[in-house]
Amino acid sequence: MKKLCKIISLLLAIVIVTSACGSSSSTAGNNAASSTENAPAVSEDSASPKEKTVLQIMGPWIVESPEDKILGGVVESFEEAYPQYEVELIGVPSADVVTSVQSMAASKTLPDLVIVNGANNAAWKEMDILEDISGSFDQDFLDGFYPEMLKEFTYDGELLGLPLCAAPFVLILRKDLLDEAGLTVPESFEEIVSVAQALTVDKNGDGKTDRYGMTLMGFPDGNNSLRFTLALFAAGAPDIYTDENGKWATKIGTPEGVRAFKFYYDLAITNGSVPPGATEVDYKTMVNLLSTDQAAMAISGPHTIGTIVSQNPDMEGRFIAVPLIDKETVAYLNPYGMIKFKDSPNYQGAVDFLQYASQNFVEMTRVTKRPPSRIELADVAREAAPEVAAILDCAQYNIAYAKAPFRGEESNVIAEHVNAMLAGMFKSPEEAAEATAQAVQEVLDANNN
Amino acid sequence: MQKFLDKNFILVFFLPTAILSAVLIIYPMGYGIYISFFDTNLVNKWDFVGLRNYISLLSNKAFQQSLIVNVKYIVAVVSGHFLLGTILALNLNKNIKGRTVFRCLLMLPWLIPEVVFAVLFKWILNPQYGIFNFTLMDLRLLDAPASWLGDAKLALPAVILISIMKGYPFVMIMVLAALQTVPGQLYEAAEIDGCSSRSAFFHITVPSIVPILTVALILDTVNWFKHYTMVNILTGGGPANTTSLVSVTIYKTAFSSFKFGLAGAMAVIVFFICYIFSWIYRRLTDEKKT
Repeated sequence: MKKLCKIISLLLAIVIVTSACGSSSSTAGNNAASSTENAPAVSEDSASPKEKTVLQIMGPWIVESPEDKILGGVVESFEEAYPQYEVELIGVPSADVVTSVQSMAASKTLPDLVIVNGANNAAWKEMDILEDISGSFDQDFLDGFYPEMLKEFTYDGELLGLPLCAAPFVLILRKDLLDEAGLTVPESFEEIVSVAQALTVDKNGDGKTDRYGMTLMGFPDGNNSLRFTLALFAAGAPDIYTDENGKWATKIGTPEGVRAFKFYYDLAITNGSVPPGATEVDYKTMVNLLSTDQAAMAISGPHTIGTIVSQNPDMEGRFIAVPLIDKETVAYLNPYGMIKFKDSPNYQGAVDFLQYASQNFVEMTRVTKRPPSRIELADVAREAAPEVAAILDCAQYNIAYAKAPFRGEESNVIAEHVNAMLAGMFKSPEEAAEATAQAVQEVLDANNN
Repeated sequence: MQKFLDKNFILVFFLPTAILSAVLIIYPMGYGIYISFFDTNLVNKWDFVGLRNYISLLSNKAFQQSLIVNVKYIVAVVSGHFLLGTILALNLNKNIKGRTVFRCLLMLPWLIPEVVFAVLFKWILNPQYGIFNFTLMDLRLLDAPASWLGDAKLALPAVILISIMKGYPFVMIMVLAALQTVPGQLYEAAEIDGCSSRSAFFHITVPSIVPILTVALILDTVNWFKHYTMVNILTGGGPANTTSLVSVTIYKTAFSSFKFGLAGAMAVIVFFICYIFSWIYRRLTDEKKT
């Protein structure tokens, strides 16, 4: 009996160890979720004619709706057109993409492609995990992209990926409410503040505000930072730029920078035209506020309009997208596409998919209102969604969003200070601007050495 | 083979778990200490900087601020766990009707994943459509919606309360298990000698369960000192860094700023702080015994 107990205990210990080790997975971090069975990528050299080459594509669209279906459709048609390939999709929420890429880069398990915007190109190029792929495409093909979008996937003259569509930041607002109130589209920060105040109403007369004029994203994350940066550019105060000596500099602390802080301050604190709890508002909360008629304006893009309408079809046709105007007229196309990693197991497969996807992504425009990256798709896009037409016209106002390896750190600083201002931690917008400028300058000084 | 098993059974049984611990705990810990001496992005940059990362932490305001927030957080959360957990355990130890049902219900917060728990409370406390504000305004206890997670003065207390609700079952279970090891005859003898229930609690119950309370205290403190998930979802460390625990600061330093060496140094400091906590607890309880 004692011997039997010992043997059972030993077996249990072995089972615990082997189950804890588990099956190895090629997915990233703890947050990745595969939509298909994970399989190690097979290099083209080792694949026999009968075996398919597995391409791994990682990104947030795989776990977002309706993007997952659209991407799934493109993958299916790609696999039909290129039967030698099989695409494995690795879903990672957008907030975790950078972390996942970092972890995979450290463990040398990067996939072939990642769905992302161009914000991290500089940092990833510094890590030497990206390479120039311009030589893999004809110049005619590359000339078919909107140059502003292609530029976002270029760093130091090297093409690192291809844009598929834009997820732009502009000012989105309720045209129906403007018309009802007899107001025109605002063309300065003061006008936006005034319009927001006018649109902040108690709809049912119970003494409580039911709709606010504007919603601001105050949650301390990258989305907050990106939107406020657009406001800085509109005020004529870019957060980061290279000066005449080639050094990183900032204009946040200038009078123009203070304008941007005053813009947010007046909306949220002085006039109360923003729903309470702005520091809690992340992207999903902002969409909820807009789709449930609790807010009338936001700095976001047509893709947000697409999500609003999918949540509340009654909102179809009520929103328009216009450039953000103050001292400058600005928009940020924020193109999304795919970056190819340097040591991707399947170079040609990745290139083939990039080329195919960029020419066959029009469904993304129809459904999510994201403008296409190919000029040839402009007419289809204009017909699919009027909001898209407005954004294509905004391309000329695209801001020069500086590509810096320390973008992540600087973005955190801005997000935290905007969050602190909206939480009432600064007595004035001037104080907020000064504190932010100081903190950003520290980051710039550390990277200028 | 049989003789080997008989002679070395403990070693054979212990070895797989030891190997697993070495691979999954000791190796990553050692690697974290190793990278703390470098300025590194873990990919192509490995500049040896010695103790520079540790020295820079002495003037790193963000890290110091997050340590202060962490201390406030841990004192409140652990105290809350013990207060609530002990009260509930004492009541569950009595022969009350529906005791089993209550035990199951009170365990639920511990069983729910932290992510789900945090998202639930984020919705409950939402200023616009959260049921908490709605109920308080309906009862006329609130005039206007309150931003529980967005107000600099309310956010930390709100996060603390949510953390207490999440973690009390662990202490409750530990204390309940300990209470059930206390012999009933001691209470009977005390009752015969005219001891009140309050005196019985402090002179019989507490000394009997102190060893288990110490273990629970160490585990709870260490576990919640390095907490990350719920705070990141509820507030992201805001508003104005009032809920920025040291784990949030470490995460941002590593994965936003790509300063893994500095993040490693922060993590090593946290390790030593947790070790000192456990040493202090053990010393205090050992002193009480002597």
